[in-house]
Amino acid sequence: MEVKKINSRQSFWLVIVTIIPTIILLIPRYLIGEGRQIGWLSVLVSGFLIGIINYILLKLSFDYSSNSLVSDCKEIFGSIIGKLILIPYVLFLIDIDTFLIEEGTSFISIVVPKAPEIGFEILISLLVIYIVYSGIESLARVVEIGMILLILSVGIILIADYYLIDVKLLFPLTFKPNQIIKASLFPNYWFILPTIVFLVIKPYLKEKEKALKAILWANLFSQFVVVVLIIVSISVLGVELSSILNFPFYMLSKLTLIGLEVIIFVAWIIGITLKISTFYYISIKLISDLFELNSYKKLILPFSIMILAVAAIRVEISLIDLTLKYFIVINFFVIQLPLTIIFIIGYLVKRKKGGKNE
Amino acid sequence: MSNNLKKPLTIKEKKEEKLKKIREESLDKKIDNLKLEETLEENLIYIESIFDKISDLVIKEFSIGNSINTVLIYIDDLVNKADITDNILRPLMITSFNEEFEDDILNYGLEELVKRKIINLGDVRTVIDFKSIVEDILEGYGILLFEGVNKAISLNIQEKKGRSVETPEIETVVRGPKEAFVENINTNLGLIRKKIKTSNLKFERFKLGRVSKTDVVISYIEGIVDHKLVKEVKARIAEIDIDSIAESGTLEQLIEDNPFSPFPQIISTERADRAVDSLNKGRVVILVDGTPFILITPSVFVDFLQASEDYYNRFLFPTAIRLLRFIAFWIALLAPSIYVAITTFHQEMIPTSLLINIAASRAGVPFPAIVEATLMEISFEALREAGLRLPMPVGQAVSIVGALIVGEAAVQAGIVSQAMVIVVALTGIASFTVPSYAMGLGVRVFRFPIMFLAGTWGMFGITFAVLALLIHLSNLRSFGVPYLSPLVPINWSGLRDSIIKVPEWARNSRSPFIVKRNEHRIKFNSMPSPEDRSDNNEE
Repeated sequence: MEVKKINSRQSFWLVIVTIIPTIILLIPRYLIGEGRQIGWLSVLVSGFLIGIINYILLKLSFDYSSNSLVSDCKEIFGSIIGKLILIPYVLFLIDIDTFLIEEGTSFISIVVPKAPEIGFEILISLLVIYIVYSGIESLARVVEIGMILLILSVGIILIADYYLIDVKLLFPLTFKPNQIIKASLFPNYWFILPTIVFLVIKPYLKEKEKALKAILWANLFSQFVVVVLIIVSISVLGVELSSILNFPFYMLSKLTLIGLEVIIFVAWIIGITLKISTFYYISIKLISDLFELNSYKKLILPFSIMILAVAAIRVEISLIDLTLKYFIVINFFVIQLPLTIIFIIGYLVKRKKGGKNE
Repeated sequence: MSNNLKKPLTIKEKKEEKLKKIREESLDKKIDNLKLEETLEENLIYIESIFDKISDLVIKEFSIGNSINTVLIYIDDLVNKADITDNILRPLMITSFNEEFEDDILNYGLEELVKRKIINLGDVRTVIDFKSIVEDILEGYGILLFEGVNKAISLNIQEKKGRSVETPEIETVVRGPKEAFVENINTNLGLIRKKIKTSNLKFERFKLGRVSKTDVVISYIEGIVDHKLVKEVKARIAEIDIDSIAESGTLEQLIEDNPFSPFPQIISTERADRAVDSLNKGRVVILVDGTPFILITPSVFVDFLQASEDYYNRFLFPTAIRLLRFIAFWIALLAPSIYVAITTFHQEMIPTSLLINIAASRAGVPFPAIVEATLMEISFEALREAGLRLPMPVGQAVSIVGALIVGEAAVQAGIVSQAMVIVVALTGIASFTVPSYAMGLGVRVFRFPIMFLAGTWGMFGITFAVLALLIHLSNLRSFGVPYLSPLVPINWSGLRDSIIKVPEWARNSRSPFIVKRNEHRIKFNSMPSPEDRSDNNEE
């Protein structure tokens, strides 16, 4: 029996950490590039639809049992198929871990160009190892502090850029459904991420009903933050500049006060590191559950070395960066969405057959 | 033939031989199981053998009543001589010449009679084994032994030596009580007792140290404290097997949750009012004999940024001061590192006019900023340490000479820049703002690795260090309570007395992360309302 450690407020921040730190760095340029002035609407479309899918899956899973995802899968799909279904998820998590390290490193390299990238990767990995080794309880606490700092930093950008806002740049608002749907494919990847996190940490949740509400609130809050930042980004930088800059939000912080960007930099580095830590924890926990290891801690070091090595190579391959937007969409349609649907069907079928129901 | 005849032993030789035999026997016996004999001589021989070569042991032999041999045993330096003369010897000798004495012995028994009717002391009890006798003698008790009685009387005649209660030396306040704990544990217990007049205030006494047998008392208020906490404190103390406990700091290191952390997890204070306040908040206070510093558990991060005086001033000022201390904590930790990172990696972050000034002041300095900062910080720490260890007037002189003359000379010689001197001075002042000396030590330890990270990785190095620090602090616990409570996990009720302080009338409950029951502190709606009072007066 796992010890219940995560309360609903911490669940809220765990959702934020899985979405906000990287979505605000990467997505604006794609969304504004595809959706132009109306690009922010695609965040709402994506967030709303994926929010419903998240709710259905998590509600079914929480009602089904308090056990781990591996245990549920084995009960629903049988011992062998249940394990096999999770293999793509493990591979996806490994991919996301390397992707996050790579993204974090490329962001840091812009601010500290003199230092070698491999050093950043090693330092981030050391921190991640420390957090993951400390366990889910410490992770949730640090996430709570880190995400409050990150949201504060977003608030600082908005306040500081208030006088630079040019409302005219937000127009014309041309409503083209195709463009909006096309642009909404990008944020799907982010908005669906909390599902896998909560399926794995389900045994640690103190109050599942409250946690579910917190997850939905966090989804709405994330949509709000991203929408506001996109609107501010367009109204300050304009559509053209926002769609070609690598990190438009970071550029926003540099425009007003000298030295302000350091606060944003620190908060975002903390955010990215915590996001990597969360996914490291989820990956290692899932693998250890899958292979029925006594303790996930034995896996931390070898897993980290492997991820570090892959990330170091990945940073050097510029093609990955160029094809990133396709990669994000393919990942969503090939792995995230199908697995989510399979889990929903599995839980529904088992429920009708009168399986476990707490 | 005559040579084979043994010479008869003298009385003295016979006594010595017997003494030798008993001594040899006593070596095989464990003192724990040794009970008193009825023969006074035999009891004395045991005691003499136990206290062999202890020159300050006094064995006073005298007779009472109808030549009943009696002995009073004590250690000369530990007892009050007036008590011996006035409350033991004089009453014993005078009363025992009464005609009723022999009848009373038959009625009560000699040992009961002496206890009830003759001795004029409060703390008097019967002991029957040598273990208790030895412990009591070493504590400063007197032991009365009688011929033909296999019981002894233990008399509390301890001499109360040591300092009287004085003003605190470390934790000074402008407003508030001026009583500090002293080295005598009983005086300290009295200081607490006179401020908490309830039978729910408990003092549980232990002996720690195989050699030192130091008195340790844990104190708590029944009905407020969490029983699990008391149990945990007792369990941790019971596990200790050490030769000597000289100071509460030694005990602190043996019971804290994470001994490798640079941050303290138990508050030590010399202030009686702080101990009383902590007891009221449901904490456990640990007192150790021989030191004025007591321990308070559990203690969380924000406790180390608070001072007793915060509770004696109106809420706005303590809130502002606590926020200042919190900011000062981060300045003390990060200021030199940020200077190093900015001047080495992120010059674009500095406004142009300031950048020109800094560049001008650093123009003649041959070292990179990291070397400059390390040199200055090491010098500052050396000066601080020298000032602390030297006698007061000399220490002050060293600090002034170091700060003014050496600092000025270093700038003129081009070893360090003026900006660096300002940063180091600011760091020093900020570190003095943190009220807890132990927390200040933690900050000093962490500052150097952060400077190194800033010198090699810029702001990312600092971010790395801050995050590592946050993870470390999130991991820490003090007797099961998360160290960052009530900040993380957030506890709204606890936040009222954390980095901020709400008015006294709004601090309705005790911290829920420490107290599990009886949280109620002050009745709701206790805000002072002069209008209500005027209505009452009119009525």
